[in-house]
Parts: sequence; C-alpha cells; structure tokens
Amino acid sequence: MSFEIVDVEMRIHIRLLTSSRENVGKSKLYDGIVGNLLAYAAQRALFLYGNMGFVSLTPKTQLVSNYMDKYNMYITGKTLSMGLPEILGLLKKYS
Amino acid sequence: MKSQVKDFEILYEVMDSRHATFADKLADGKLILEARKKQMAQLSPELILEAGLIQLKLQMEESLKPEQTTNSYSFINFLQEYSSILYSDTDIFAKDLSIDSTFLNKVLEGEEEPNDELLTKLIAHTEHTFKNLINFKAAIWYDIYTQEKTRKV
Repeated sequence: MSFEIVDVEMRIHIRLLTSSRENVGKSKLYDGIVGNLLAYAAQRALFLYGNMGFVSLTPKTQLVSNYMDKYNMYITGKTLSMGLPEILGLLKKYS
Repeated sequence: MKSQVKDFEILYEVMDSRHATFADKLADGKLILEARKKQMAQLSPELILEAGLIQLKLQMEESLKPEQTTNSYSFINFLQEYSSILYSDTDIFAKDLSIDSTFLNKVLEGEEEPNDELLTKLIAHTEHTFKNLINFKAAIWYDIYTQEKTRKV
C-alpha cells in the first residue's frame, strides 16, 4: 500500500493498494488483507487528525460497489471516501 | 454484480490511483470538502468523544515505540488530553479518581510528580473508559511514565 498525507485537507489518500497473487481468489491463503490495509490508513488518519480524519482512494471502476458495500465508502467524484463513522467502524472491525 | 465480484477476485492489484490527473484531483477535492462539511455537521458528540479517545490511545502507543526518540509526547500532555476529552472541570475528574483535586491540578500543571495512587487509579479509570470502546492496555500510563523517567536519567 502507498498513501499520501494531504495535510492541508487532513486527509489520507491511498495511491496504491495491492495484495499478492496467493492472497486473491477463492483459494487465497489469507483473508481480509485489503480490509487490514485500509484499517491501517484509517488509523493513521485518526492518529494525525482525530475526528477531522478522512481517507480517500480512486478504485478501479469495477470495484467501486465492492468498496462501498464492504467498507461503507461513498462516492466523491472519481474517488471514494470515508469519514469518521466509517473510520471508527473499520478500526473496531480490524483492531 | 456477480461478475464484478469475480473480477475483483482475479485481480491482484485492487486499486491504483497514482496516475489520476490534476484536474480530477482538483474536482474530487471540492466534492470531498463538501462531503466532509456535511458529515461533520452530523457528527454526534459521542462519536467525537470516541474519536478523541482512540486518537489519544494511538498517540500513547506511538510514544512507546523504540524509534520515538523525541520528547514531543509526555505523560503530562497525555494526562491533560485525557482529562480535557472527558471533563470540562478537573475537579470532577479528581472526584471520579478519588484523588485530591489540588494534587491532581498540580500534576496536570507539572508542579507535582504523579504518585503510585494516582497511577493506579488512572489505570483503573482508563480501563473503565475504554471497556466497551476498543482494546487498550491501560497500564500504558505506567509504561509512559517510567519511560519518561528513564529518558531523563
């Protein structure tokens, strides 16, 4: 995972999020890798900015609904975002 | 919908936004700002309190990491933060801790050292506060205090 800290906006923007080949598909070795990586970004946002923390990413088009359903992210233009309620939900789930 | 999930499963690179254009970033920045304003206006005091406590927990844990060599974090700062998140009046905090309020105020102002009684009661208070919130080892107060003393030596 690679992310940038957009300090003026108190936001963390995830630039790249990947999982290794053996951890995708039905026979994946470990489950929840993407969720854990997202939770790490969410944790950094909360650590740095408290209740003002925010996380965004630009997913591949075919994955938009997946991010919305699984991580409660919402559409903000071409990006998907999560604010405090979603960040806290993710942290509780993956901490 | 099913085919989308299938696509997701065969991709090993689940997202890559390194190549977004500047115009896209600018347009999305405005939309994100609007979404944030809307969401901030709807945040409940309970959620804000929760965020403050978890932020404090994360900062306390960070302060104990070996690579953390600066003095940007201190026991007193954390205690002041904990008190201000939960209480508007330190006398009520002292009452809840069953500690003399004058002594607590002096500790908060750095005029007195915290004693064992304060540390023990603070740990118990923190355990209770975080009980239904998130996993947190409240004895970290003691770890932070002793680490600070060790650094000074």
